[in-house]
Amino acid sequence: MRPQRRAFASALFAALLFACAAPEARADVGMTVQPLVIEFKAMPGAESFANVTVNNSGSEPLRVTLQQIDWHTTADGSVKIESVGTEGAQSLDPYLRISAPGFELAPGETRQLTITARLPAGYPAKSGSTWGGFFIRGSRADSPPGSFGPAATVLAYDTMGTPVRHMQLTALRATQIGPGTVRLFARLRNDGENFIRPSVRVMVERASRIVDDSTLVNSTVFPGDLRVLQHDLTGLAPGAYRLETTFDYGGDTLVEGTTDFTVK
Amino acid sequence: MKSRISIATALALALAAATLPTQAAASSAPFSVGVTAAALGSITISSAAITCAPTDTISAHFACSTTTVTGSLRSSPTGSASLTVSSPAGPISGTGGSTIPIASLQITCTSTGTGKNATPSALATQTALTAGTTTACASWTTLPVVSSLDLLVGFFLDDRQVTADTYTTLTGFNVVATAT
Repeated sequence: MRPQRRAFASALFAALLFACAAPEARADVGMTVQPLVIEFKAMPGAESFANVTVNNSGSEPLRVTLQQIDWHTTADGSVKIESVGTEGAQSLDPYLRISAPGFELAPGETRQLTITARLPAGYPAKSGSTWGGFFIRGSRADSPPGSFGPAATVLAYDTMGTPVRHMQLTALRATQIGPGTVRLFARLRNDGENFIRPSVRVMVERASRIVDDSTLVNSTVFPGDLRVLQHDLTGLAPGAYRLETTFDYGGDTLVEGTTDFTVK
Repeated sequence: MKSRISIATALALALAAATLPTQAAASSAPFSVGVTAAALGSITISSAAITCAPTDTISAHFACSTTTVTGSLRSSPTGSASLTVSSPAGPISGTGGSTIPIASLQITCTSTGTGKNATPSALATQTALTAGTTTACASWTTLPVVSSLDLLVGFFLDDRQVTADTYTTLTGFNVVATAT
């Protein structure tokens, strides 16, 4: 019993010190960034520009810092921020510049930044896409740098030429996971040369009547990558259903898939 | 009844004539309306610090402080939008040499919004933070991805391995708006 008491006391001691070490919490640190997505069509030897505005939408003075990032999407669609260089030859970062690395904004103040993409003249002019971006971080101006605060990513793409967009639907099924609830699983693969943002229209039919019709969107799928989609259909009465999916990946064709399922 | 309608109609016509004389007199010209709606992220957090004060040694998910996240998100036309929590490489270090790995911290994100498309498609539930990168908090995948944010982000600590020490505040945590 005594060792347990000592352990508890130690933990409490640690907790109090941990809490005291943190700065005082204060309210309303806000930041608005737009746009969050930039699509360049920069060519070797030429410059392309895009403007990004950052606004202090909170009630406290804001310190804004900008950091160049690589990034990628995972099979489940999450965006993972990476250190510069991680994307190798696909990284646009060596050719991106931003007009200010950091600044402070008073409440309500807006700053416009310019992002420049400049590919060197000797850059191979082959059809394809590269990507990179910036991590824009806000924190209270009077707090230590890097303190907890709002942030946003500005993700940039550069597309040269007209790389082929294409995707394959490699699996589609619907499985009942609970009363009246069916989970749609779809697996697709980007087998083209360009990134895609596939949207999928999901129609559920029962006895020749459409009982659900919705359109889902996805984060970017890069060439060669797989994506696993999950979507729950709820409120389904017992019976036999047909599920129709139509994928629009921005290419010349649509990809369709159909599967039947029964709700017990 | 008929006369009331006539009076009302006459009044409406008189009002329209009074307010639109210049338009009626001017020559009409076609005009176009252009709208540019870029993907944007607007985030306001209610707390500039997260504090943790574990009072036991047995909790895998001891509740630390929370922050509310309000604002708005709009994705590109066919892209998704998400809210993540970014973490530094860590660990949280104590002056006595003890450390708390970033993965000992978890987040739970709860939608409290009632606005248009405010309910995310997915929400984190006691998801361990990943050191040096982002951890998904909420994502929106049903069109239109135009959301009024109103989320509660709760932080948790697995305090079962936390030893007594004076832990230094670690910076580098953010609530991040992302659209692709």
